[in-house]
Amino acid sequence: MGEVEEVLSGQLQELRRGTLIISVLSQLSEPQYGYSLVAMLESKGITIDPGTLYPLLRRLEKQGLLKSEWDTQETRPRKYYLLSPMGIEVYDQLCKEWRTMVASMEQLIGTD
Amino acid sequence: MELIARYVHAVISKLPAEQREEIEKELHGLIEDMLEERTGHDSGSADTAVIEAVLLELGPPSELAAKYSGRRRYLIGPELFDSYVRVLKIVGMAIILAMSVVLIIDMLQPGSNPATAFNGIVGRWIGTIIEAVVQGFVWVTIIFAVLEYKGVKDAAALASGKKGNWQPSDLPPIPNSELQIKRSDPIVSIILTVLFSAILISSPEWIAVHISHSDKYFNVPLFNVEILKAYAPLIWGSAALIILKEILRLVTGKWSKGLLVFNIVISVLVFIAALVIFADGTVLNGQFGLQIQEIARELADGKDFGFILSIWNLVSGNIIYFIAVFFIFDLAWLLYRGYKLRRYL
Repeated sequence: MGEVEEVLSGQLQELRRGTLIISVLSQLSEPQYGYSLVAMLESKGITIDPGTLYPLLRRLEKQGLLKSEWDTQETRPRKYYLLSPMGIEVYDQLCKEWRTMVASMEQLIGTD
Repeated sequence: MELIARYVHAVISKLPAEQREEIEKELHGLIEDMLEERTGHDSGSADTAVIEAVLLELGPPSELAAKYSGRRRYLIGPELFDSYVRVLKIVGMAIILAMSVVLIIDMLQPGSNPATAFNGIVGRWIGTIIEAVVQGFVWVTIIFAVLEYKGVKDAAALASGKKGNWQPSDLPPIPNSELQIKRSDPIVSIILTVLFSAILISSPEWIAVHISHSDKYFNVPLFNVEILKAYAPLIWGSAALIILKEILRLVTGKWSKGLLVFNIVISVLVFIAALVIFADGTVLNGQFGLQIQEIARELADGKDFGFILSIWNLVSGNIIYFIAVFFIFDLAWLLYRGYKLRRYL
């Protein structure tokens, strides 16, 4: 890998990391279990590996943004996550910030 | 299937007990989902190659466990690292310098042929220096690892006894302020402490009255070497306390209430150690007077070393009082510091 690619991939990773939480929150107005969320995000162009997503979900639950429930009806037990009322509020605020940020970024990098 | 069980176990064994059960269930579910996606049917029939591919995608168990625990895996983290490297350099230099001085004194010992002494000594002292540097490295690292573990964010907070948020008043003073501790003070003190304790422990016989007269050479040690050796742990302990104090002074660079109190505590402890060592007077060379008189007889040139003897008698007879006076001066100086800086502290 050339030096440019190497630095670029590191920078891209940083850039994506900041968008992960808002991506995850956006999909959880309906209950989802971890792996279905991976597939769902993947289909919308956001790649997240399960080894990152599962711990992240637990952390968000601990912060009170998500609530969870085990579903034992299916073939194997799965933990479903859903936005908590607080999560909904935080997600709305994050979306607002995101839109402001996108507008500012547009001004910065411009569209010729 | 066994591979999966081993993988899940490797992850959860690194996690807090209360989280294990749930994460175990969750991970099994995840891996089965991933297998199912790859094989397109029931995960139970997946072969080893597919299982390995899935586990590889999940990555090393220790990394996954670290993501779950969210704990930082530092021995010494970024907040402390700069202080750590600085202290390591200074302690390393102090040890090398002190050991080199000891080496030179050893070579200059009368009666030894400098050339042969040099050969034997260089080998021995390179070994000793490496050993001492490694010791210093280990102890500094342990101290900083403990600070990291205890969550001390920076040494300034530790010394001032404050925890919590950074305050503008925590800023280091500008040079020449009354609060400033000149960096050279603790460095010199660390070097002298290492040097003095190294001599006191490894070669106390050098601390002696040296008499050189018409090709004859005598030395009369001040200490009873055997008894002094028994106090070695106490001497090392005191040296370690003093060095710890100097490291804190060096890292904070500024007087604070906590640092003053800590200085006073260490002074008291070192004073107690000195009292223990000198209390019964046996640590001093009891034969000093006799040995001096014997040398005077042997030289037989009219010298009776009366001056040396009277100083010796004065000091050895009142050593406890000298130590007490020294301690009181030290304490008074610290209290005066505190008084002078009272509007800052």
